[in-house]
Amino acid sequence: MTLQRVIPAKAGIHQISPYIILSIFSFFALISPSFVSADAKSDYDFQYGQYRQNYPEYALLKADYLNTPSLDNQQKAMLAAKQTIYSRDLVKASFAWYLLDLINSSKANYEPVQPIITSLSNSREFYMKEAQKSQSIVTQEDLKKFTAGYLKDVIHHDRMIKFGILANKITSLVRIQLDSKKALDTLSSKLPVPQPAILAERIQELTNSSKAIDLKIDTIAKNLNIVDAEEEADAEIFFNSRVEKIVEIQTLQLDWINRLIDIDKNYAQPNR
Amino acid sequence: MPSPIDKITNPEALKLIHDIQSGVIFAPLIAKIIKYKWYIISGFILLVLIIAISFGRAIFRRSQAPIFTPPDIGLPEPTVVETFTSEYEWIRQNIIDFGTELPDPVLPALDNAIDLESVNI
Repeated sequence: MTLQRVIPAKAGIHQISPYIILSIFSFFALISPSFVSADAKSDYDFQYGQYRQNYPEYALLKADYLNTPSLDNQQKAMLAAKQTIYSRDLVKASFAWYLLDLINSSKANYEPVQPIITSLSNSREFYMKEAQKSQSIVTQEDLKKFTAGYLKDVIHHDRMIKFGILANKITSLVRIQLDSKKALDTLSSKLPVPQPAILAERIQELTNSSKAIDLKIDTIAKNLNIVDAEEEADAEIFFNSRVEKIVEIQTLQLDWINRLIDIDKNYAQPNR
Repeated sequence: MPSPIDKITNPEALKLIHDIQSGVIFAPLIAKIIKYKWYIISGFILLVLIIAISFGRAIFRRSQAPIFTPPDIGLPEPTVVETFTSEYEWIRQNIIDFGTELPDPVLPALDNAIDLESVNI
């Protein structure tokens, strides 16, 4: 390329480059909201919405096929079934992700629920694989085999979802305990020295109460042994039996923080 | 020494002087006064009364008892209730907001038995 040709070419690039940069920025500006909104909850809501669209269609086409078992109706019902299975397992996978996200957002690092977290991650992978596997279904026989295998394998993973729900509650309670302990430490540094006998007694009571609440949370967590108590998840009382204990812990925590705030009000605030 | 009147020769002026001296000129006025004497007396009495009331009022105002007003005690100030907000209030709020119902989040209602074999829907 001669010099005469290169100079106009460079000049052309300089003229166009602002437009290219602007276009790139515009592109990222347009796609950025989709990145921001793609959190675990919105993903779950989206997938569940997809399933709720697909399922009635599958139900209708299946009924059509059973009433009029033509090849055309069978193909339509097969496609709808595949689509519904795909969206169902994506719902489960995203629900598992949503639970994991909730548990991790507590930042409790509570050891007793770690096996549940691991199992929940494994279950999420299982659902993802099943969603992919469902797309290889071709015949009605394939669908039958797939569902038969799925019904057998999914029991454990569906139970893990239930355990995950409880693990989320437990880690939330643990988070409150951690925040409460931190608050007590901060408050203790603000209290007058030497502490009056009544105040020292009240602080000691708080410390003891905190340990008692920790113990109650530990008891619930230890009862969630996924190896020994997996089948409990099928029982109707799986959740109901634990609600009472969770309410009890919440009441104790509320009483504890009220007492802490009372000490803060009466002893730690200047000019009171 | 002759008086200045003696020098007046104008008969009209002389007549006027004579009327004044004799009181003839006042005769119609006196007649009117006599005619309206009761009106005049009434008006006089009324005037005297008004003047007397004015004087009485002036004297009353001067002799009025002083009004004692209570000392200014100012407006009542509303009692300021200090609202105490602890820095640990957010923990209490987290505990209150913590949902105890289970399952939370609610399990999605899903069909595990999707096939074309039976009417299970």
